[in-house]
Amino acid sequence: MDPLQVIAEPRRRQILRLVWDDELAAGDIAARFDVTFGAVSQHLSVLRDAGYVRVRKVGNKRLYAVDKDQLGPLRDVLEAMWVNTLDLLVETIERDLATEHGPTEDPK
Amino acid sequence: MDQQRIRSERSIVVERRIGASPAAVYAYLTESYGWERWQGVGASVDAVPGGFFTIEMANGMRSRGQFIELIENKRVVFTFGWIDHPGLPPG
Repeated sequence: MDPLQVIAEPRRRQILRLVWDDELAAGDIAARFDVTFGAVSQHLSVLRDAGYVRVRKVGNKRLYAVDKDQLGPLRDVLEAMWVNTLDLLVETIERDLATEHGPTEDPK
Repeated sequence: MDQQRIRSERSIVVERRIGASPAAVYAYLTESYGWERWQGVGASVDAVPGGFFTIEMANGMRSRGQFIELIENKRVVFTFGWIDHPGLPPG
């Protein structure tokens, strides 16, 4: 799933906020929602597969937490976005200057 | 060490060199006209620290951000997000 699509789902964003600072078991997370445990568990596996959250096993519990050390799956999306956007800026300015279209340029 | 880690893992660096004067580039980043030419079909830009910009793209998407820091002809810091995409909202 597209990393932006993963976090476009409001409940998944809620889950991310819950485990942003705390490590929580799936049951504790589900207890904060009025949807079924199965639905929450499904969201958790999507978040885990996409790399947004990490799971740590403690005894027979699985604790979920946001992987805050890296941008994770968003890195590629954001990098591609800014590469494209900045390429477009370079092209726009250089083309405008070549055709004297620019806003306030006085070329030296 | 910590700084290093943050830079390598929590940030993205994209560098481009533009064949134009710093003043020309600064104008594109701080004037409605520039943002419109660069990214969209319409733009409203209030280039003061804390001021907002809104860009309308040709495909109907709208982006929005807030200027954080402006140093004339040197530096423009802003936030960026999509108004219509819940995955990457403004701020």
